[in-house]
Amino acid sequence: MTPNMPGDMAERSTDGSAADTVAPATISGAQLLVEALKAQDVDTIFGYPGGAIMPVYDALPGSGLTHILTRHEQGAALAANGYARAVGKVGVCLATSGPGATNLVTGIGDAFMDSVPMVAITGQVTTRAMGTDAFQEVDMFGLTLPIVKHSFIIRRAEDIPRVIAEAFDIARSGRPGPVLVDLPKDVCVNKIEHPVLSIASGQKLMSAPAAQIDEAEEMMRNARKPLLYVGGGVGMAGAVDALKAFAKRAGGLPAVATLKGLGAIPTDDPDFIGMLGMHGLKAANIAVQECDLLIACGARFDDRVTGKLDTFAPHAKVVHMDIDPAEIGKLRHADISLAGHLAPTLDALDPGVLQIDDWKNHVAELKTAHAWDYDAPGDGVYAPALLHEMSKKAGEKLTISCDVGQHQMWVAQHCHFQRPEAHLSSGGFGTMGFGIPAGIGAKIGAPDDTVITVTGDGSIMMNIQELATLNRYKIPLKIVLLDNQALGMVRQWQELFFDGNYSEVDLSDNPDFAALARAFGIEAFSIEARSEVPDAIDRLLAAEGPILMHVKINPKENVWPLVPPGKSNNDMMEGV
Amino acid sequence: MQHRLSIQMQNNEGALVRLLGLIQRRGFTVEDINMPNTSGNVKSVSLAVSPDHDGRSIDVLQKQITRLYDVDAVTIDGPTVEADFTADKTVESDRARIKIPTGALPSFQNKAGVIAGLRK
Repeated sequence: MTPNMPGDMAERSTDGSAADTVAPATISGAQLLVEALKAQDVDTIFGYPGGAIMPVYDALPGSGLTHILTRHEQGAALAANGYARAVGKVGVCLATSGPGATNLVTGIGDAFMDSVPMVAITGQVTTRAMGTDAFQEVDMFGLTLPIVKHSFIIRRAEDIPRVIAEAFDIARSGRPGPVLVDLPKDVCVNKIEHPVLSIASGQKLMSAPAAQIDEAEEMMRNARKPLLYVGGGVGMAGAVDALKAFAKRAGGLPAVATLKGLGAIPTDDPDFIGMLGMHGLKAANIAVQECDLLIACGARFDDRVTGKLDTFAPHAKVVHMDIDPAEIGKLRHADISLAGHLAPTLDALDPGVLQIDDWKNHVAELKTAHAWDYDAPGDGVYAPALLHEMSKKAGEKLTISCDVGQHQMWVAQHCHFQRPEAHLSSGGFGTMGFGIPAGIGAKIGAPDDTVITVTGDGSIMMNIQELATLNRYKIPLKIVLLDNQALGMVRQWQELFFDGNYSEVDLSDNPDFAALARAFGIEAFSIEARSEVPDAIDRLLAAEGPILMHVKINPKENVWPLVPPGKSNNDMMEGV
Repeated sequence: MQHRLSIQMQNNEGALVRLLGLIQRRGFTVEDINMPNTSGNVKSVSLAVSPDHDGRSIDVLQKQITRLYDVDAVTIDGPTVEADFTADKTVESDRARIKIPTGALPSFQNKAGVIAGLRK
């Protein structure tokens, strides 16, 4: 079996409009799957072949679908995840049964926690062999129950078009999420006659009820210190313009954002204060603690945001708008519940210009008083300053994917974002190894964007094999590796909360990362002096192919400020 | 406090496992369950559940169950009265599970004797 041949990305067709092919009178389940995917406007899938899924791989060459071969199924799931986040379409990943399927689990869990629309298709042993402990059999349906929005086992080939249409509908409608489709081998091989290929699908966007909109407007007019609390739901709902228009109708509203809400309001917007929460900007957390009305927009009062929940925004009433009614009142009582699609709900909200000049002036003073300081002592590279400079130089087409740890927080704190899809970060799940595969997915989905993966020396090793994918398809991803020779975030917590008992965080025996990247066929260079930073950023941004910039940083540099776990957001530490 | 939930759902593959798993993961224990045999794919399930600790809201659980794709409707039938064996009422059952502290009953004969006594 020959997988789709690798080719230069520039030559790769991105035309996904091949869905109107006429099906032959007799067709296999695998061919039916391919047609069903094309009917959903799928053009790219990420995967890895193997035994039970071979009939599907047999149907791929010449099908019009582009298959990206990753070097580990987790890479495929996270690439589909990154693709979906960057493009807003449903990401698709494909793996064989057993270990192939279980390797997808982390990427599916990540998509579930961050509400990413994804369809994961797994091969399965034949329907007759299921339940007999057959070779490479695993109950993927059962394994993934807690981390999928829904799941299917397809037991008849003729069900494939209906199930695939349903799976895509479920994945992208309402609050998006991953859907698993488990596909036994015999279902792929079976031939059926005169299949029905197209299934109509669609969704209706419902706003929150008018009476509650009126009450919310009244509450906004009565507030003296209202604050927008912007979550990842705004970007996922495509409600960025609606949010900006609503804030404008209100005369401008001070706003804070969660990790996943960053970019919905551009970083340099005068009303935007910054990220709130555990590693938020101090001004943002102070504003939350002082506000008298919190307008939560597609956010879920996550523990990394609220700190100690009963001290969070203690003086505030809450207007909570979300597509998922189960999020409203889950952790914090909502005085007004606006359950509905965010865009029409925001469109309906018009409280008039709010008389809050004193509050806005106060917030502006807070922002100035607690602005970031990029003057750090010494001659070494100061990572926050590097990231800040890099994001400003990269321009509006910048998309950053990152891994998990200290560098992830520095990206959120110090990079400038103009749109939410520009910041791809594993928020809820915190998946180390997310960065490079997500960057691959983003660059393939949005080839005109400048896609940079910011990673750490711990995280990069979790999916280092995907450097081979970059080389195979010549994907011009730019990797910035911040190397502190440690699991930095764990080290920071051990320093602060475990009496400096450093346990299993020393990575000083790391490989030579630049040499390793070159072994994969990728341009790479290393820097360690601050004076090298400007030229290094220029080289990174100018590179035409994949490139890795290895940056040695001070192992003792920590992320500040920090709200200790379980503490109130009033108790921010700003250094030791 | 126990709550009784009435759930109408499509009995698709795995639907009941999905429902019960969600209830357990969200911090509730299923105290009893009744799912009558019906023709067709629609099932009505009646469940008594109790939260494992404070701060778990039955209203949030209701919404979390409602968003399951297989579930058509969920109603909360109100808190059920916890069994109160001190009250003057009769409990009839074909079977009962009786916990007997083993330390107090050194031999099988003793245990059998206690059970025989209960039967009287």
